[in-house]
Amino acid sequence: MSAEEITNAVQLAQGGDRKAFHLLYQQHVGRVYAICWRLMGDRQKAEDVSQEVFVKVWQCLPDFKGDSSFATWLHSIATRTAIDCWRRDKRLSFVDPDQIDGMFDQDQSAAVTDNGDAGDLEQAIQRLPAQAKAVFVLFALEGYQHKEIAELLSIAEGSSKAQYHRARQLLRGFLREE
Amino acid sequence: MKSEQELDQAIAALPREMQPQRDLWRDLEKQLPERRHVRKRQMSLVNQALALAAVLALVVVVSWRVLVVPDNADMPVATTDVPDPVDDQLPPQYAIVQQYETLVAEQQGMLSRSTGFVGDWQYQLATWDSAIGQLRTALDYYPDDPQLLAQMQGLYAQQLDYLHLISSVEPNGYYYSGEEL
Repeated sequence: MSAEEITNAVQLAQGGDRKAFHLLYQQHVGRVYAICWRLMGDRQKAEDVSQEVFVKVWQCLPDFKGDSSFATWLHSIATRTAIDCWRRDKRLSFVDPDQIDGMFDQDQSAAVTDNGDAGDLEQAIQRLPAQAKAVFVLFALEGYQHKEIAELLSIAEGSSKAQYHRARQLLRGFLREE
Repeated sequence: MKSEQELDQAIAALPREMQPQRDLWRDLEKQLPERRHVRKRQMSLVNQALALAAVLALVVVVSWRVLVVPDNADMPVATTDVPDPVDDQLPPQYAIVQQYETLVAEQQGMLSRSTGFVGDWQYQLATWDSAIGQLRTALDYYPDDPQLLAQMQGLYAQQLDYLHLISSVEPNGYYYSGEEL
């Protein structure tokens, strides 16, 4: 979709046009689902969270003023919603990091495991402890700064940096094993 | 993977998008609430109509002052004791503004307690304010134009007269002229 087509679709969707919103959904579902899956590590939960994201986007769309690009605005909603769900997910909070190995969704990760190092890395990310994984995903894959991550995860900026450093060390260790 | 550089390369190779294994749209569409955009649009049209009416009223008032009442002699005279607008320290228009704004503010302060019975007095005052604003803009270009100064003084006088009038009306509708004292 061109920028003009996106603008038109946004305006139509703001007026309640579901077909236009479907176009926007198709355009962005891949990126939204990616962050949801990487944070939740579970296909069913990632699907549920992705749907929740788009319902929120639909509800908030009339308030979108175009101060930032639509993609940026949508991605911000997706990140915050995914983190809220990730935080609510008690399973991740109470699991011993050493036992996390193998708990993530093998089917989804299989979709990228054929891609050499990237596939191995995708699986290794899911073996990370919950907070280190969240920090790593947000910083290395989603492009957030540590200050923003600290705010999103309600942790200190220094903790975010430490968790990222720890995540990289663990990933290198996991990948060395394989 | 042995080096940081190799890890960075692997991170860069990760896909930024993943497609869900099933179509989420069908379930999603059922969850989308109806949008009440029609009502919002109607409100917007009402606001537009009100704005248009206010602009037209302003144009009529200003036009009437400029075209029908051309000189100072025909201007209505304030019934209140208003100080002489001429002030050696200030340009004439600022002297007028300073003197009348104080009186208008004092009069408005007296009104604030019970004004529900006199209708749209705030709208009326706003109309005068707008007209005065237009004249002030004109006076910025022609600061010594006697006709413009007289018109501005006349508008202030009308506004003050109106404020005196509505402050003399009791909530029960009785007109209090002041002569009873």
